Amino acid sequence: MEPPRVFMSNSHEPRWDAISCFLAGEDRGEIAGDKEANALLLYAKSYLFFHKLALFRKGETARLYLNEPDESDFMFHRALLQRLIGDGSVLVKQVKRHGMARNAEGFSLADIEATVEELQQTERQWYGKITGRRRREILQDLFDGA
Amino acid sequence: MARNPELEAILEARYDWEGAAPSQKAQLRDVYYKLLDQLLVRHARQGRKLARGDVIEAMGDEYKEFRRARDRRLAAKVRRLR
Repeated sequence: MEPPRVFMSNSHEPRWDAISCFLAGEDRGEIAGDKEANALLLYAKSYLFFHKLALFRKGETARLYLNEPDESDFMFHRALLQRLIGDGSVLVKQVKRHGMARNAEGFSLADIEATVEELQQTERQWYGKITGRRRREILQDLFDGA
Repeated sequence: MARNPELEAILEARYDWEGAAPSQKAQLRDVYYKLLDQLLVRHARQGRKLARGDVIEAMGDEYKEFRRARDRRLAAKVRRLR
C-alpha cells in the first residue's frame, strides 16, 4: 500500500512531522451506528490503519535503516509506534464487538491482530529492556554464537 | 548478515511478515512463529527452555542488521531504475 505523495518532502523522503500529522487523526472514538454501518465504518478504519502502517514503515526505513538515526528519530519513531499499537488494539476490540465488512483487499480481524503483534515486536526490538549479556547468552545458546 | 542458516530463515520470515500486504499478515506471522517455535521446542527437548518473547527481543539487533542490508539493496535497485 503506497503512502500518499502529499506527505513526502521534495526529496520523496518521508518526514516524521508529516507522518505524525497523518497518524494523529482521531479514530479511536466509540461507534454507534447500526450493524451494517458499523461494519463498514470499521472496514474504513482498518483500511486507514494499514495505510498508516505503510507510511510508518516507509519513514522507519528512510530514517532508521537507510540513514544514521539521531535522538529525534528515535523519539518520533517510538511515539508513533506506540500510537499505532494503541490504535490497532482499539480497532481489534471494536472489530471483535461489531464485526467488519468483507472487503476487496481481503484482510480480516486476524490480519489486524497480527499487525498489532508485529508492531509490538518492533517496539521490543528497538526499545526492549534485555541486557547485552542476556542477549548474547540466548543467541549463543540457540545459534552457537551466530 | 546472519551467519546461522536457521537464524537467517527466521529473520527472513520476520522480514516477509513486516512487508506483507494487509491480507497476508496473519498467514506470514504464523510462518514466522512456526519456524521460531520449531527451534524452541527442539531446544526445550534438550532441557533448555526459553521464552519466545525473550528470543524475539534477543534477535533484535540481528534483525536490524538483516533489514538494513535488505533495505539498502532495495534502495540501490530503485535508484538504478530511476
